[in-house]
Amino acid sequence: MKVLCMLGIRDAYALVERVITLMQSEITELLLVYTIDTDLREDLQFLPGGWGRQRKPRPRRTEELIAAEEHAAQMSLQRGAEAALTHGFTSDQLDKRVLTGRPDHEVVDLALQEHCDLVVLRASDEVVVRALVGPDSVGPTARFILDHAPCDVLLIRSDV
Amino acid sequence: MLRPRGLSEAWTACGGAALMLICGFVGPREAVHVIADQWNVFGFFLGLMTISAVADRAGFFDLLARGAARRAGGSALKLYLAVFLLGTVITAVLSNDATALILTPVVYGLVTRLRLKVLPFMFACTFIADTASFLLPVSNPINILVLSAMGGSLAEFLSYLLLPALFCIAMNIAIFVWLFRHDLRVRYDLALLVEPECSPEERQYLRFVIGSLLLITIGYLLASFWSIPLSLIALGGGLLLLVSAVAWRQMQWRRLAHDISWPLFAFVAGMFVVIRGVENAGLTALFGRFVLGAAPTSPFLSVLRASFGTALGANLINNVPMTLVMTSALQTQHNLPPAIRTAATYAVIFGADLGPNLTTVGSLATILWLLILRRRGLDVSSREYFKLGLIVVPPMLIGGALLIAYHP
Repeated sequence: MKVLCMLGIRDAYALVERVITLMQSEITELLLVYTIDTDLREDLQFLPGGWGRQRKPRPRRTEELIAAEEHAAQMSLQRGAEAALTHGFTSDQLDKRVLTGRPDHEVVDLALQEHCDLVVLRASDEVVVRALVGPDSVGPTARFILDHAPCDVLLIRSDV
Repeated sequence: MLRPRGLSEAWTACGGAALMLICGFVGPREAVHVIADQWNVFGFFLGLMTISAVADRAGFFDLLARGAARRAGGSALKLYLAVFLLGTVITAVLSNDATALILTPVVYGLVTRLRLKVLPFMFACTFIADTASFLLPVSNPINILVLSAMGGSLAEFLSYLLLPALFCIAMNIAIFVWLFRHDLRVRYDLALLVEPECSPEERQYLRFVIGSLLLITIGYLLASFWSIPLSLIALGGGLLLLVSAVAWRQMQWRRLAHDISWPLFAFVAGMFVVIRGVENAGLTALFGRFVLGAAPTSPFLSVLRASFGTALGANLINNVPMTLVMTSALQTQHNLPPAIRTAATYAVIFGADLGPNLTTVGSLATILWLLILRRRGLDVSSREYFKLGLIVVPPMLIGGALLIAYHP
């Protein structure tokens, strides 16, 4: 079974470990994905303040911001891969991807392209989980993927 | 109020000024005089933008942000408070523009690396830029605009606005810490902080820039105390930093030209002419009577009307033209008792500086913010957000107005 595991800001090691605990014998290929949400950087321009000047950061600053985002992405993927390797996966079974764009759309598209059998994701990537069940427990990104993924979806609810 | 896509505000302001000239509300000679009289404001804009740009390129803001992250010792809450403190100090000395335009992306990069939620930090930077912008006369060019027209010493400025500023800053911090309390409960790994590679010369240059900024700050305070035009300090400081950048071979003229917002000068110049035309037509006097009341006797009511009137207007037509309208209106109210005139002058500064934050109560910007919040999945419902704005922002204005009206 080819599994796409969607990593985010929260502990990637714990998430991958949880997936393996739940279904290690089923997984043949593990695709670890981190999506850099570029909209967030672009939102900088819309925030109020200053003298109403053009808020687009200068090119060098933009490069630094992109580098920071890349760094955060690589850290997550590295932690996720560490968990998989620790639990007996080989590097041949692992694939790591950094995507850019809207996380929900990007993951759905990638699952389709890669013919994934399962998408695994957290119910919410909030830093502190407030509600494990109930109407606010599934974040907007996870909800979109639940609605649109071309395969089965495993929602990790527990606070890992 | 309306800006066609892609059209700079400077064009609109200059178009308005041209219309005033064509219609005869302002003569060509008068227009030249109006603009030339404001040399202090233009010089201040130029000096401040130069200082901020050179300091940014020297790595000053990055150094402060990294220092804050290290001092916070891994606590997101402590880092959040440190960002507020940084924003306050940078706004006080280098103006709200430096905090909103330079500190915000620096903090964005930092918290992304530390893998913390970015939005609370972005909001902190943009809000504190306005909330702390009436700490000192140099904290917002609006303050210079008003003080150039109405006069006033540093002691008077501080006696009217220091307490309201501290009150509003404390309130701003308390609200935001509560609003984002869940995201601030986490810790971050200090090992994720990256020290940039710097040559000894670059480090020496940065030390010189820090020393120069301290000198400029002292210069601002002394100039405000002795009523010396602040533009002289800003331009002098800018020149000192430019010379140092050339000496350390760090100067890139093209980049500096890019960092200075030239259309801003056209916008402000155009607005000066437009407001003079409106004033010549007798409209600002009418507006002054409407906002301040026909015969104001209570300092509190006058201050409250001036603060709210300016703050609301700043949200409708941008705070630069609104400040010019209010300043002109105050100048034409000859029957105002001196105490009320002075209090109302500082109320205008207060309203114009804090006004943009009023958008938390209701405006296009609020809707945009809510969209961003919702898109990010931040657990703030629109009802909670509006309720918070409605409960908190008017008391901030009323509390500040009370402190201005009954200043020590």
